[in-house]
Amino acid sequence: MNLTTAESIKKLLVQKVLLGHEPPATPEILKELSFLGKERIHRPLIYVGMASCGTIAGASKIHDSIKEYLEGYNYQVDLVEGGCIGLCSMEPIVDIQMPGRTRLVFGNVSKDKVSLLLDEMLNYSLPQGVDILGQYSSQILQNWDDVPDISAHPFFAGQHRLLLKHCGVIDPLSVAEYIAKGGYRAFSRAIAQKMPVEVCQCIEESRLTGRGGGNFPVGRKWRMVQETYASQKYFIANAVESDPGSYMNRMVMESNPHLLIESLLIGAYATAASKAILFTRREFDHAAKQFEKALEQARNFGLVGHNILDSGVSIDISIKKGARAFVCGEETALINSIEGKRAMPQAKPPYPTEKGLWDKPTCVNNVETLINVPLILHKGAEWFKGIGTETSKGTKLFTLSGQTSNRGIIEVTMGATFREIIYGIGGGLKNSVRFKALLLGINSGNFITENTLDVRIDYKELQNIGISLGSGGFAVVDQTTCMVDIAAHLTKFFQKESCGKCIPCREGTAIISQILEQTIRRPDAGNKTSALERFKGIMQLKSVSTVIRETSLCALGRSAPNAILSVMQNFNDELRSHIYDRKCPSGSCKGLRVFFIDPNKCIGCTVCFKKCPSDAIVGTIKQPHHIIDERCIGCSVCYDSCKFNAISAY
Amino acid sequence: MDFTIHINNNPVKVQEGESLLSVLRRFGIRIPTLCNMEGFSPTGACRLCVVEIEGRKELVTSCSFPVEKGLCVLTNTQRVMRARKSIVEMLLSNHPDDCLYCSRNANCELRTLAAELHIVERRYNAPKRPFFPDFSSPSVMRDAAKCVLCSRCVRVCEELQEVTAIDFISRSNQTIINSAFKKGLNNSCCVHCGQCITVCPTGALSDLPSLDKVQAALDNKEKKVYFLISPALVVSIAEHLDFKPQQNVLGLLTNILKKLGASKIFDLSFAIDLHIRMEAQIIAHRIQNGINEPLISSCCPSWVKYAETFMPEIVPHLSPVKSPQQLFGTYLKGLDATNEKMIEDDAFIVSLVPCVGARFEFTRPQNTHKGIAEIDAVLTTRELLNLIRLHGIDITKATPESPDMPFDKGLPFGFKMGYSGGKSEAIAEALYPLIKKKRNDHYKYIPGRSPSGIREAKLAIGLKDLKIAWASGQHKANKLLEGFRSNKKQSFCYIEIMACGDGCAGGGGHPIDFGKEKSRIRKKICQEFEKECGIPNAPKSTHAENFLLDIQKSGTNQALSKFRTDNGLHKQL
Amino acid sequence: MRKKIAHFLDRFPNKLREDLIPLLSDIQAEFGYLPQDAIVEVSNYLSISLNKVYGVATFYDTFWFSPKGKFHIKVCNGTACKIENSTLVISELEKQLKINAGHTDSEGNFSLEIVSCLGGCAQAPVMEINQEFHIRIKIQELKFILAQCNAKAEMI
Repeated sequence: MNLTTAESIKKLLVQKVLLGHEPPATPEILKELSFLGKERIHRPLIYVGMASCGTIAGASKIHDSIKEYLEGYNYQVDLVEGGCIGLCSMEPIVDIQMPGRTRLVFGNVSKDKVSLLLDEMLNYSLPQGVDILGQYSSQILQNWDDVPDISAHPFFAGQHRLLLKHCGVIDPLSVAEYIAKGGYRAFSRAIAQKMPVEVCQCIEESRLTGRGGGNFPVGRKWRMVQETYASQKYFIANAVESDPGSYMNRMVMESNPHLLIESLLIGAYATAASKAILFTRREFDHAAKQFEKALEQARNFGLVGHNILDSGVSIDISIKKGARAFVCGEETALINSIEGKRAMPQAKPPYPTEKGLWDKPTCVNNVETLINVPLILHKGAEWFKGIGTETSKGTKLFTLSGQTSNRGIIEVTMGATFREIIYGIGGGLKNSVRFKALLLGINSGNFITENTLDVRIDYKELQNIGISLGSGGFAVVDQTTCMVDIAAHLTKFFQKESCGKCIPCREGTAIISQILEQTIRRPDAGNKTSALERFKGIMQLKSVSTVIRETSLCALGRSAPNAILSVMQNFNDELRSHIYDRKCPSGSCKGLRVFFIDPNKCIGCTVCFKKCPSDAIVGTIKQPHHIIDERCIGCSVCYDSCKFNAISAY
Repeated sequence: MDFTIHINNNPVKVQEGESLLSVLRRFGIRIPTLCNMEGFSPTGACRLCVVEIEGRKELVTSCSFPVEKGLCVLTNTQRVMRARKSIVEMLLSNHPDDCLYCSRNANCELRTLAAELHIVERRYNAPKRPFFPDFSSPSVMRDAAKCVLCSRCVRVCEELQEVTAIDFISRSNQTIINSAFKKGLNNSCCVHCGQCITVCPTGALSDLPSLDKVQAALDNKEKKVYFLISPALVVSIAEHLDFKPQQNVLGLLTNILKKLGASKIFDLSFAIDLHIRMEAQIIAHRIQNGINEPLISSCCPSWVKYAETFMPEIVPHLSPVKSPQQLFGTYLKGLDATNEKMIEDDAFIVSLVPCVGARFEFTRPQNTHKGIAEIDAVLTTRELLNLIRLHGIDITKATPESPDMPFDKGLPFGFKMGYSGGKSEAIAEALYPLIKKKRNDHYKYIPGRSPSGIREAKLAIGLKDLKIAWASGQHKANKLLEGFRSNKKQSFCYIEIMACGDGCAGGGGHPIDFGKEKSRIRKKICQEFEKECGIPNAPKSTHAENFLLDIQKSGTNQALSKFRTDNGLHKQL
Repeated sequence: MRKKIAHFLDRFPNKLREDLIPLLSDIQAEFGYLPQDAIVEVSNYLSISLNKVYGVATFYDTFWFSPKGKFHIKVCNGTACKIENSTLVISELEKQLKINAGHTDSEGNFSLEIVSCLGGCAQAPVMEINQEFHIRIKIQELKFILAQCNAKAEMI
């Protein structure tokens, strides 16, 4: 077989693999596939992790210097802009595969290490002084000695990578590699062998639920759309991911866009929607570009558009880029945003499944939810049901961030405990400070504490302790962080991001936010009633929070007071010491610090006296100064300006 | 399909598709709302209409919840009450709290809610919103600080009137309702219909205060103050003056105004009558000369502004006859070519109308002549009530009295002008004597509705078949004019358009009493009153008579140039 | 202004309501903010009420209504960055640039924006200056970074 031209590759993949028998028949084809899948290579192959998280860490500079290096190198080397394997704290990550040998993964590659790395590697020797994360062991290739398999790395050992299997491994913009690794087969088989109802049924049987936070059964939602009669239906993948501290969807879009395209195709087919839309943010520029390029390739292969693979099925996929607003993640708000309106959530019913985009039945699913679908169709609902716990099936992606040693995107089986993730995958806390809390679904404000660390990740079990899993943020906080401060931060976020439509969310969050500001700040000098107001405010915290939670229009508004309720439940001592003692136990609320001038060190230069904005410092030239506590507003100007270290803060 | 649900353990029969809110109201439980409006789809923004449904974790807003089989609704649990109370308290947390200085202190929905929910203590304290009132518009005043962002005004402006002069700006608690770039109403496409004022639950939208000007005129000994009473005002003011709701209070009102210090009081229906006869004359002229072109009414100032802003191509087709209010002013002050003054030089004419647009209309440059305004001040019904209260007039001591001669008597066309479709009928009646050929030519007026939902009437006079169409509310007007704008042949000889829903009966200047049914009641009262007025007569002045004759003889344009009563619309273009 | 944005308008020949946000985003990307005339042009072109267009534009954080500085600094204040003390970074920047977040300084050199997440949580705290990322920022570094920008600004 001659695989030199793009046309011949396309012919092989479409005719023999996607439309051919299962499994692909001849050894010859299998061999070709292993070349297309980059298991075997003719030339050295270098991957640079160029997903957004890599770029932020400086991967593009590494890419440029590798390119520069290769220009002066005599042999041909393939340089690929790869995706992200998830270990973002070790970025920039470079993978190198030499012909005949297994692929090696290097982390924390800096610009000055590039030439050393390439010098050694292109000569088949391991470089010293570069972090080797591991190798992808293989049975058909020669393994490197003394290099552990990548799966043995603590970050990967605890994970169960089904959805992320190919992320950071394959070339995101190679449709051939994706198909060679088994991609698009679930879709091609579905449109050839299954009716839309059967696809819905299969998903329903698998008991896959929405990962965006709603936990609604996906199959049932699909069936509702499928059964609604309409001239036009829409299928939307929600890739807005406006929840701070989570970027799993972006990572999937950047590292494996074809997986998402395949999922969209299956979803649109199952719901009989001829138009599928990926709705993302304009800030996800790289992700959108990757997706668009991949979409072009898929179109070229006849996988998207009119009469896909001669099946008579037509599905068009387009990408829409929205403007930035947190609330866009809510499905009705998202629909309004696509329609070019203010992204305000609407009252349900009617649900989007009846009246969505342009008043047509619309199915909106989160990206993470969707990418489960090809797997389920490929391996069957029974297989999927076997993963996870009794009540929650499959795996869950998290963005591990905060104060753990390893941070990044992880995938764990439902049923894993938080402790396993933090101390296993996360490698424990950095700086060896004690664990304090885990912000789960970050902005949904659910705190996991030492007491609940051993709870399993399971929708039901979490619900029992009053916590929802959220969309996948996972930030670990150590003892140096003040929980009241965090709650104030989260509430402020909700207040700013409230769409302003319903009263409880709009006014209520502003009220809570103000109360919390008062507790972590010193009062204005001269405001005599501030203490009274503060106490009055605290007394109302619970009732306001409850009303917001009970009456807000959308789920985002309802989760706004979670943070403060959670602090009241779990960290009440800390809150009380802020209110009554005006002290921050963890010392991170700068506004509550008390300043003291050491009379032995102060030479009376009057700098602090002049700079104090609230006239809290008294003293004369060349005499030690003194701070009047009642007037101090804790701005720390004096502390910063003293050249003699005479001022100390408590 | 009917089924039964349980409300506070009482079985209630409901129909499928009904909203829970309407069922509860029918059952006799008043559920508070701030954002709900009859005829609009629910937004679920205020969350005040929450109720508890057994078996559901969350509280449910009844406005957006369609009834389901087997519902058990609890409307008055402590949880529900607490939620409602908290929500109102939240609204109050940053409210200016200047109820004593608020134009709506007597009928503020927010204040009523606070009282009903027994809010007696300030539990939440939030900084006041740093917004300033917008005095830029000649008709509507906006005080964003009092706004509760219920979106009623935005929806009325957008959906009913299709103007969109205001919209939400920004997000979160910084949200404000304003026009683009926060430049104020005067820089927007506002057509001054005032519908937003009538739906506003608080004092965020109100009339631009103008009592001072009238007060000053009343104080000025040199000035004679004339009041013109619009028939459409008479129908709504009765119950607000504590009279019987359906009583013709023209006489009583005259007496009250006299007590205020008015020099003379005229009934505006004379001008309406004249206005209608003029337009009828123009139509007759067109019919007789074979000009097949509809005359579009221009008596509604908001509609004129709307046409100028959004469909300038329509403007040349608008009737050149001034609106009754301006016509009367011109006529009384002798500002037409004849220079025949009916009143003194130092007269100060105050027009009393249930119309916000009229307040904008009298300030337009084409309604002044060399510095002399046709009308000197306009008061809406609301402001008139304020004036009467301000002057401490004891209503109970009022005795009916006839308005001043020669414009004393309410004419039937006057009340016809008070509701949508009424003017069309009046035009038809006025047209009949002008184009009938034989003495006993039959006259038939059949109002109806075209298949596309347009209100129209067939008018048969002798052998002639004519068609008249009308619409009220800009949304419906747009629908009606769609065909006209796309140059489709239309056989209407007259098109009546009123900017407010139900015409002047639903005018933006009526006292604030919510609900669409109110304007329907006013329409009915109009129809009753017009019966009392008897048969329409010819106008009572030779001047008007001459004018009408002139149109008949020499055609519209010439007659208008002679009498200078055109509203300046075609001069503009 | 019409000429300046004509090529953006041409990208949306169908003049649909759904084109509004993409069109505004394009203009924002080109100018760094939405000039008033441009908003008026967009409203005319798409036949959407100006008040509506302005209402939509002000809803989203993406859109600015005054020009940005030559160096637009975005500081992430997402939870992960907050844990790593991004608030201190912001207050330090505000102090050094003498502007509040959301504003541009009087010379037009710097503008400061707080964003809810830049998606670099593993490298917190993160800051972006004209598409260039600075990660794991320490307060002490800020002076140096700003000085570099100032030097570049003078060269421009």
